[in-house]
Amino acid sequence: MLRYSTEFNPPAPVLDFIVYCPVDHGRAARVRGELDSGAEISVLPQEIVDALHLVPRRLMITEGYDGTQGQWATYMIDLEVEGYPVNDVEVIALPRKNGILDRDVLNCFTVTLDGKALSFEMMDP
Amino acid sequence: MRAGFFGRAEQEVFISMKQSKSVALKERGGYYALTIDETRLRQAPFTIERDGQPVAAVVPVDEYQEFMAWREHIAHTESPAKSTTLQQDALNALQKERAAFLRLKEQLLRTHSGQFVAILNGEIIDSDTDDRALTRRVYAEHGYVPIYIDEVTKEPPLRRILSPKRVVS
Repeated sequence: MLRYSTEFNPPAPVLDFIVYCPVDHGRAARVRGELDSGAEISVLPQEIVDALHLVPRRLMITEGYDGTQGQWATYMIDLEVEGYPVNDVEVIALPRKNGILDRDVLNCFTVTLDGKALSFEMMDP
Repeated sequence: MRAGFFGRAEQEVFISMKQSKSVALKERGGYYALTIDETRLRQAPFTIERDGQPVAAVVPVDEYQEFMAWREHIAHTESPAKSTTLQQDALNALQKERAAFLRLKEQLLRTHSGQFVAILNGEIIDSDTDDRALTRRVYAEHGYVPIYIDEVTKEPPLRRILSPKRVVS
């Protein structure tokens, strides 16, 4: 079982995952990311996109919880989450410290949140 | 003797060479004299601590110069500024391909509606109903370069990020 991070208030399910450039898995970085079932697009810190020299693929319009819209470049990446590969994931880059794993990624797993115990589990069935 | 110094400037720690084999560490009101054994310095860095925490290291000057040369090399090959510039160049290139996509959109709505198309150098190079397969294929055939890949729809798709964040607890 993985522990919720108490760096967030309230505590949140957060884990480390590995990001790979889709055409060269030698270009990889470890990222700390929040599980967010409310997100329809995954997010990487901008500095990771810069460091891996990822190539943008298209522009996407996103909408925040308050209806604010923004337009961002998207990138295709491969991921490794809890030892499981998740390929061809579309992400945007934002100037933030942590990543966000959206429903596209979460839907590849059986995710069990045990909020009372501040623990969670991600399994690939 | 000559020695190099690695330290954290923001901690207001100053080192001055008083005389051969000795170094003085001056910290605001305090002033300390320390002795350096040159032979031992060749074997391992001389570490200076404050409150039990290392704040600086003294190394032979040739090792210091090697470090500075290495750091200069890294700065020129992998600097954040360089990465940012590369990313900006890629975004500029993508914008040009997107302009072609928008220019061709009316025609694409008649011929490729609901499909994904890939555009490079202002021209359609491939299309597919599978976004991911198309992306893999065009990168394999044309290289990992800015190729605009988007779905041909009347309205651009919208993705939501609905989780509000607390800024102050």
